[in-house]
Parts: sequence; C-alpha cells; structure tokens
Amino acid sequence: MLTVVDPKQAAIVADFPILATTTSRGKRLVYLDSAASSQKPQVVIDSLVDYYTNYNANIHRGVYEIASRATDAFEGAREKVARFINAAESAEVIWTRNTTEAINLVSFTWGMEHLKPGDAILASEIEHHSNLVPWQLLAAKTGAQLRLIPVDAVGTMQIDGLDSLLRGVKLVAISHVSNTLGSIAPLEIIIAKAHAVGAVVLVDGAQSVPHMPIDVQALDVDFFVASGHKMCGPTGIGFLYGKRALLDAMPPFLTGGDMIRKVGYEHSTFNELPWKFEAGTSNIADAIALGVACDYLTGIGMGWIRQHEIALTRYALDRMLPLVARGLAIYGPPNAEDRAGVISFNFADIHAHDMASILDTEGVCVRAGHHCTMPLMDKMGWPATARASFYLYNTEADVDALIYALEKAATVFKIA
Amino acid sequence: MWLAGLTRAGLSHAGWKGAPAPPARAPLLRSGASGTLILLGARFPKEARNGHGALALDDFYKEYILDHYRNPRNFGHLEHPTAKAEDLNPLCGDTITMELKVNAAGIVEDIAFSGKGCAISQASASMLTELIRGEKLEDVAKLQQQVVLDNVGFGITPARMKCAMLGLKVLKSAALGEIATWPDEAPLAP
Repeated sequence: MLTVVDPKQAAIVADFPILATTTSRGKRLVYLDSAASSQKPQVVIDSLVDYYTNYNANIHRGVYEIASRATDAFEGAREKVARFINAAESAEVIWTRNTTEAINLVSFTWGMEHLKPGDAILASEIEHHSNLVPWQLLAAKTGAQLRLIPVDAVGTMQIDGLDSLLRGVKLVAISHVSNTLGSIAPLEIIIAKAHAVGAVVLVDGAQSVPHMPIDVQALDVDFFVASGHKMCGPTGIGFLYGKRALLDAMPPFLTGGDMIRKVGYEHSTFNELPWKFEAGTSNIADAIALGVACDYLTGIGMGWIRQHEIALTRYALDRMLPLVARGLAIYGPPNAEDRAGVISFNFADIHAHDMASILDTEGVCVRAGHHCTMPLMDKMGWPATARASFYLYNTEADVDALIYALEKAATVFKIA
Repeated sequence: MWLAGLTRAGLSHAGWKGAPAPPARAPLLRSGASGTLILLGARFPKEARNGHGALALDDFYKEYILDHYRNPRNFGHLEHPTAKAEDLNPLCGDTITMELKVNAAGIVEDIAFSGKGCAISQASASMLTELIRGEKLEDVAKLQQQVVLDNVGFGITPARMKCAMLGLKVLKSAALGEIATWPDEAPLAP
C-alpha cells in the first residue's frame, strides 16, 4: 500500500483508480509511461459512462432532448479545450483523432495550398515521427525542401543558425517538448523569427499541453496540436488549434456529412468553422470526456503540475546519479528545470528492452525503444533507450520503486 | 529415430570460455510418428515454460543466457555463405543476420550470425546456431517456434516473444530462401 504524506498529492493519487491496482505478481502499479499515454481520473471515466448511459445521441441536428444535451456537452467540451489553451474563440479548436491526424490535416490542406518548389519547411532533429513523416511527404509532393534545426547532445535545439535556416521557409513545424529527452524548445525565439520571414508556425504540443500552462495567444503560434489521451482524456480524441484567418482560408480535409452547408448533386458548399474540418459523426463521448479532463487539470492547476514534475524529476535525477558510476547513462538536459518530466536512460550493457522487462517484474512501467524518434536515436548512436516519464499522480515513492528496480536489474545482469 | 546432430552432446563447447554449462537435458528434436519434428525440451519443468507459469521473467536472465548475450557463439560472418537472411524487429530495432554454408548433400557445414539487440534476441540466436551445424537444411527449414521456447523461452512474456523468435525466423528464412512464417501457430503480437 502506498502512503503519500502530502494531502494534495494523496488526493490526486486517489483520483486515479488504476493506481490502486496491483500487477499479476502482486506489485503495486508504478506507472512511469505517461509520455506514451496518461492514466485517467475517475471523473473522466465517469463522464464516458454518463454519456452512454444517460444521453447517447447524435449531435447537431437532433431536435429531441438528449440530442440537444449531447450537442451542448460536445460543443461545451470544445469551449473547455479553447479555454485550457487560451484560444481566442472555440471555433479555432478542431477535433481530430490525435496529434498525428491534426498534423496531417494541416499538411494536406494548408501545406498543399501554400507550398511550391523552392519553398522550405523547417522542422528539427528531435521530432517525433508524427511531426516529421508528414512533412517529408509534403516536401516530396510539392517540391519544397525539408530542413532541420540541429540539436545538441542533450537534445537542446541549436538556434544560432536559425536566420539562415529560415530563408525561404513557409512553414515551421516543431515539437514543444521532446518525448524522448524531455528538452523544451525555445518557442518564443523560433516563433518570432519565423513570423519575421512570413512563415507559419505549427507547434506539436503533445508532450507540453498535459504538463505545463499553454497560452496559444501569448505564444502567437499559428497551429497548435495535441492528443487527449496524454492529458488525462480518453484515446481517439485530439485537437488542432489554428488562427481563424488561417483556418477560414484553408480547404476542407475529409469531406462528407457535418462539414457541409448545402449539397447539390453537382456542387456543395462547406460549413463554417470549426465544423468545416469535422466530416462524419464526431467522437462525441471522448470529446466530452476530454473537456472533463481539462476541467480536472485546471482544478489541480497547470502551474502546480509543472512545479510538481520539476521537483519529482530533480528527485529522480538525484537518486539516479549514484548509479552513473556503475554504468548508468542519463540522457537529456542535466537540470530538471530545463526539461519536462521525461528521463531516458541506459544502464551498462543492459538493452533497454531487457531493462523494461526486469522493471516490469517490479511493477514499474517504462517504455523502451526508439520512442518514434529513429533519426534522433541514429544521430545520438543509441540503439534504444529506456524512458521513465512522470505526471501529476507520480510520487517520490514511485521514483524509489524505479531505483529499487534498477538495482535489481544490475543484480540480474551481474553489474558490479 | 534420433537426429544425432541436434543433441547438446554432439556440439563442441569450445565457445563457452569457462562459463557454467547449461543444465543437462534431452535432445531438442526427434522424429515424430508422422515424420515431423517434435520437441522433447526437458531443460525446464513443463509448468515453467512459455512465460505463463509461476516463474518470474527475471529467472530468464540466467548465467548462461547472459553468457550467450555477452559472448555470442558463431558470431560474425562466413567467407562464402551459400544462404543468408536478415531481418529486424521494427518495434525495438533488434537486428539479426544468419549466414549458412550448405554442402552438396544438403548438410549445414557452417553457420554464423551477426546483429544487435536485447539479451533475449541475441542469446536466442546464439543458442540456435549451436544446434545447426551438421544438420540437414531441410530439417532446419522445418524448425518450429517450440524449439526456441523450450531452449530459452521460459519466463518470456508475450510482449517479448518477437525478440525471442527473431533468430529462428531469420534462420528459417535463410534455409527456405524466403521469409519464414508460422502457418501452424498463433500469430505473434506485434
């Protein structure tokens, strides 16, 4: 049984029913893989059950009571997400399945309309495949060039040469926080310089919006994308934020029902924002639940979550440091303040997959592999890393369990 | 009818470098009544096999497994391989290449493997190579997943099964001259 002293921390842990479960080996679940997908608080789980139990109906054209209720909840969730990232209006929030789909939406619409041979797209060397592959394909289709902001050995973007990299750039697409190393991009500088050359900026916020306060207007970012399941919401729902002027000028992406205004046999006109980009019946239940997740996180306080993760990351780095002498390699920025709650590591000659399997025997869930950043792994010369990632519900006891399991791995692999 | 070359007794232990010998066991394979290869695998008690028994996975990382991981047998390349295959596990990046030298009579005269990856994939591949020299290529092509499971597989969780099977898949692919599949067995989780 886990004992948490801080009452606020104890209350948060109690909000997540899965954290009270044990593994088949009887170990307490120590969930350190929130960068892949977060756990869900009871209120989010309840909201899914509530929708399907009490007001399941299709939205937007129903005239009966539960259809109106579903429509209100669905559009209310959009307003909650808009407030959560401080969008100017909820019509600037488009529901997608996830971050990847949101990026593809921009690539297939804005990208295909605006890029031509001789133009350039600027991403970075640290991008997740989802913010790299769509731009590779867009470049191939349009004849544009794909350039990358280099990163140093700890995953910090090197922006000394940004001015020359930005020449001819029409679109900058960078992740806010690295899912592999936790490093945080210098968004303010990059966005300002990109705008100075007339480029549009898309920020992949999949790893930032769950963990720190986000204000898309203060950032002056043009597109901002994220996934619900990494921010205490369900899978299958994410969003694209875009400035109204950009979204208004973009052609639709998927076409069909819900995204139309008037349809004839020959021609159709399209709906206004945000529904222009939401063809077919939306993921109603999960959108509503994501709104509940935003409420939950706001109630805890995004500033509190950020500070909690910095403190926990610092504690973890301090506890891991003595193992460096025995061959533990810790990747990413050395200071907890400079990274999100993500720690990638390798231990002597223990392959990351073997490490993850041994940690699993102690109930400690970490990810192992290339973390969908294969080019970064190649550049750094790591075949794979193990990755522990933290969220609001993690505690120092979780870090202690990780350290205990790392010691066990060293024993199993006979590392002195 | 015993397939003599597939017994541990028939193999050279030159590569062990003083590491502890594996537990004694019966031959890996014999001919079944139907003529197909079936498995005897007596290294581990039945209830401990396949990762679903009571024994924990950390018991998998036994000394001889770690020895195969750190000192892989038959590791490297052949000068003139007559058959070769390579594959990777795209999820974790494990890679294995198998090279065979097969004589005119269809007997595997030599074998080498190379690659990188986790202890499960590399040790499994290393241990497989020790069983193959002197065997008929057609028998190698018939090897089943159970060979690996009974050789090294106890304690392996479903998530790691692809790691364990990578060496066998590549070995069979080399013997078959095409990508090996497991038609008579349940598909592995991705």
